[in-house]
Amino acid sequence: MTTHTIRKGYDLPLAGRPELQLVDAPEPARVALETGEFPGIKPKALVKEGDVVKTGQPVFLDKMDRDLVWCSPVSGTVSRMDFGERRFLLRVVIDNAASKGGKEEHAAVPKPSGDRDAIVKAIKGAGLWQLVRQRPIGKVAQSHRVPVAIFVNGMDSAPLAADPCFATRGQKADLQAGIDLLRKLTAGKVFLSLRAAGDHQSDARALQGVEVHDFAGPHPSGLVGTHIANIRPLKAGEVAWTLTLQDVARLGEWARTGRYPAHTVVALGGSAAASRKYFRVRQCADSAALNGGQPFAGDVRVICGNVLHGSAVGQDRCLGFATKTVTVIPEGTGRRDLFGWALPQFGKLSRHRSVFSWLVPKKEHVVDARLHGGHRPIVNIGTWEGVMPLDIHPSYLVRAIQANDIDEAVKLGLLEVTEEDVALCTFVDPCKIDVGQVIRQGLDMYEKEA
Amino acid sequence: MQFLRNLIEKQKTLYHAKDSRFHKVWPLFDAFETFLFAPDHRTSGQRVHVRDYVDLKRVMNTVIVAMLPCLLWAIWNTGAQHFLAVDAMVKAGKATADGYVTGWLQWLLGAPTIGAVTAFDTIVFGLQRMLPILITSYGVGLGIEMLFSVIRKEEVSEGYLVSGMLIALIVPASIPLWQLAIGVAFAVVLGKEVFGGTGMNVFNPAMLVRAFLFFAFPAQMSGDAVWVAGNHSPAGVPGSLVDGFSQPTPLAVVKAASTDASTALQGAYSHADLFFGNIPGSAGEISKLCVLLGAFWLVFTGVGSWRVMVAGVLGLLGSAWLMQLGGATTGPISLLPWEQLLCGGFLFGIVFMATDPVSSPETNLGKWIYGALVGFVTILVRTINPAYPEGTMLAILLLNAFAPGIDHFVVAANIKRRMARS
Repeated sequence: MTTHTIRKGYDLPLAGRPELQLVDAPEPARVALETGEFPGIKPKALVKEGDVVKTGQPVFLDKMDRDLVWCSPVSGTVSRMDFGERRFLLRVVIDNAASKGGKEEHAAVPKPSGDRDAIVKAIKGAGLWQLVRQRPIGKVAQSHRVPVAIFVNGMDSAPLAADPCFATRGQKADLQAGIDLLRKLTAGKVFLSLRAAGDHQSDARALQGVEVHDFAGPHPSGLVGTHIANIRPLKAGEVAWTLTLQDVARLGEWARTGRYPAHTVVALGGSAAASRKYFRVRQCADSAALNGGQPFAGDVRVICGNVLHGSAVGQDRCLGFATKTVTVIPEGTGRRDLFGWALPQFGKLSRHRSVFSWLVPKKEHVVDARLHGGHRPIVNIGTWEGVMPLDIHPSYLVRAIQANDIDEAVKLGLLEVTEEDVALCTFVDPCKIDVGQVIRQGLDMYEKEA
Repeated sequence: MQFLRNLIEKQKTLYHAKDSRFHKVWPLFDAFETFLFAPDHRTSGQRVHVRDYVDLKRVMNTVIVAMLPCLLWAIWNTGAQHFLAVDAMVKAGKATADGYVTGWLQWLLGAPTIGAVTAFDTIVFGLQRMLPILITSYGVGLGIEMLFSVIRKEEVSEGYLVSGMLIALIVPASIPLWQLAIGVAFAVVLGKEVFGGTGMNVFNPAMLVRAFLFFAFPAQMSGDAVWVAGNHSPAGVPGSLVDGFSQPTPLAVVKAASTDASTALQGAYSHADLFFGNIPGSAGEISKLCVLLGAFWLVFTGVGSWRVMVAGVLGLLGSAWLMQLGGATTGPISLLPWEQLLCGGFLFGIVFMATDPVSSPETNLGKWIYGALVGFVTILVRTINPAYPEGTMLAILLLNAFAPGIDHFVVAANIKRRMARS
């Protein structure tokens, strides 16, 4: 076991930490599977509006890889299918029969057995392959490539994020089954990253067949990009696969029970959330299930993910495919500070000492979604470098991408990051540049050229 | 406050929509509105949802706060030096107390009694010179910036808020305003806007103003006669001077020293006067104490790079020490290294101008190299060059040009490390 200490970074002191208490959420009225979460796929619907589906039954597949399917997390009726331009499937909304006292039926799903190819095919057929992500790029793993290592992330340092070890407590057998499965997918090692001196880790630390690495220090010490850079940096042409500990548990649950693992554990946090706890909830459930059945009301933003990396829920208010954390913060519509830039501002969250909150340190800040400034060109006063623990010059990387010089961007480390790894740069930037958006543009351009 | 908000919202309809009456000048309206109220932007629904409270306005404001001690001292010292010079001229019999010509603010607030000048008189004279300089610098510079924002249909950037103040502090208080206006227009248009505005310029705009004035109007920017402001505009020399008064700056004393420069310097100015700034010079760079206060604030807030400042000071001291290894006992080389720090505008330059985030290197190693070289080139000009007593301006401009090159090598080393891994 090795301990890596991350020095550059920042922990946002936000109000609304979820309590360490796991409860069952009520059955959601509906679930929605969004294709937009998986850029690059070409979905083909396998069901029609009005069809009755079972839990674990495939509802659409990817025409680019017809083995890859998305399964219904509930038994019920397909109530709506939205199509965009050129009849591109946008989402499938399924009414949950169990919420009206109906019975849940499980569809037969493939089981993992045989060689690597057969196991991969089984995972895809079970609708769980999407949980395996690939670095570089940070999208769903390409199964024809053999990863040099698989990184399992057993920590999350993001603000108010779910603790993977707490979320998977009591699932030791599932975790081990998941790890055993992953070991068959790579010729290299399976690495497990854990928070140094963290709680609820007895199950994770007892896992066989993994190499455990401890990480200490501020965010982004708990991001897989940081872990890869510290444990086994990827060489040109190499790929690694990444999963979270919760995803490994779901894989294991499927491998052990032969059923689609329709429930996930989600931590609900944020200053505008009423009941901040860990919920066992249907995958892709209507977020109202986390709020006693009522939609989150008022001027709030419900984020699938954390405040540094996530997306606000769409019109259907449903959670994402792999959501582990839900953060509810005030939106801050129409709130405008008089002389916001000139007054000392003792109570505002900032990493900069030019905002005077360092004089009156608060443990917890309530923040909303305001930008607090206008967009400006890059004026680099060293803020990005201060929160970037990787050996990367972020401003030069961003400029190379903005100049469409992807060769240079790759040389500067584009393939070592995703938008998640530069989220803190975006947060601290006085010029309000969305660094992650630029990075994603660069990765998209790279994919197109490759 | 709500009243103000409503008023602005009402006016906004005239500017905001694409087909509204004054939409062409929307960037101007936006600049004034966001000056009052933080802009009404929220994060997109993707990726990062919360942002740090800091914005570029606040960053620039922090630098302005850091320059306030220098500005206040500039106002005081401009007045103090003026009356010292007037007294000296009266004592020497070259002028009479009755012949004292008052300026516009003195006419408004009351003329001083020569021989019994009060602190109030000193400040009034300082303001009388510094206010027009500030107004000219900001008026011309911001005007051009706003014009270009309107043409580009972009929000007005805050970069010039700092440049405008810097310009006022690095010119002699005697500067004729029309020269200043031309210099500002030159620097903002050709030094900044042609490159794309804030964040895109190669050279520090304020330093460009000074360089332009230095080479275009040498009579008002160099020599022994320009450093003390007055109310006269002698024929043929368009400047506001104390008629006939001339006094060399410390570095001019050093440059001219035919004996040991250290002794010559102390013959003219005491170390304490040099440190606290009881000396003639450009308006804002004279008090080393005020510069240090500003430096502390910049470093504490993280807005100015301590690496550039430390490297610059070490570079200056080290280079001066190296020069002395040659064994020269006369001329500028013989000035003690730490006295080099007390003289001239180097400290002001390295704290406020070399640290400009746009025209200096962005990599940490690059900042060390850049700062040290600014110190080195300053010493080269001060000691080897036969003409110019001070080298800070030229050193910073030269290194501005080299900054991308310095970064290039640091970044190339980063790329090499990455290649070595694969």
